[in-house]
Amino acid sequence: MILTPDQEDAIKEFINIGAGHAARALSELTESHVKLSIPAIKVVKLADLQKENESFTQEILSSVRINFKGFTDGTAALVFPPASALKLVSLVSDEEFGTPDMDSVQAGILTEIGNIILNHILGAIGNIFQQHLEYNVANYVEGEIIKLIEPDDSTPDLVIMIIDTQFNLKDLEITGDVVIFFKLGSLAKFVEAVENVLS
Amino acid sequence: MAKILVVDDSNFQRNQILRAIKDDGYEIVTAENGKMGFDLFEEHNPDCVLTDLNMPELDGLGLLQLIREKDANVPVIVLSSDTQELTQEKCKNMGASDFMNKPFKKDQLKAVLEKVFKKE
Repeated sequence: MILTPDQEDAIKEFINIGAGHAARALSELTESHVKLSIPAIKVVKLADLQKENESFTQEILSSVRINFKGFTDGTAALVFPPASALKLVSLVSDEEFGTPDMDSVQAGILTEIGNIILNHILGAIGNIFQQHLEYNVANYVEGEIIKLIEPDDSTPDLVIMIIDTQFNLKDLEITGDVVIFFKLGSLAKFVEAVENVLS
Repeated sequence: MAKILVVDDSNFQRNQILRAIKDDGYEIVTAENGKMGFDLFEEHNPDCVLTDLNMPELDGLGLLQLIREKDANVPVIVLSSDTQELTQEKCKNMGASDFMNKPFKKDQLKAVLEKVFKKE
């Protein structure tokens, strides 16, 4: 699916609103200024996902995932390289962690951070379209990007919207990506809703 | 001493809440999902419930419904990351006394609890 420039611009703006709220939430959690880059949006097929973003080629990624359903169905995920995830967890919990691996306590903290950020982004979408989205409980996923996708949806034709964002907290260069995987046919419903708002 | 039941599946959030109000003289009971929350509600008969929405086993709306079937008056404050206006509306319609978004500010939580206990 190719987005028209107007659709892409509108989606960028909607995500920007959500990302702005998410940045404020993150700033309150970390008690520091959060600089969030303007999101870049790409719509790709699953088969091309790793080609589109170099960080997705890593074998180990630390991610938080929420499935949503309503006027459009899919999965929203916040994906971090492990080093960034640990820096963020340290900052929020005010603790230094010695090991480079994420334990269950740290994973729990990252899950709650991801939950808050993703809820702000999805919440902004629900509010803009005045349509309710239901979410499941956020969960932590470690491994390749492909692990975020439900086995039923794992076809090369699956359409994925990648929203590249970069968080900058206390000059720590914490980077993360928000990725939205739409179930088959759901991106079209989402774009239809965007068109309704535009018209 | 007023008793507050805190229901949240995130250990991090439960700790944040405990830290925020630990010096305010409340007795605090915690649960990690709605099902456990309702069991503790029946056992402890709290003066106020502070609950998350998205939780395993039984979510916050399910808990709110069960509580309202038992007790129409006990204040139930929803503390959730969900920023959708329609979610807030749904909670209010189901009898939530207040709705707060995460992350919360310590003073904001204290003020909501003070308001709840003043009304009582």
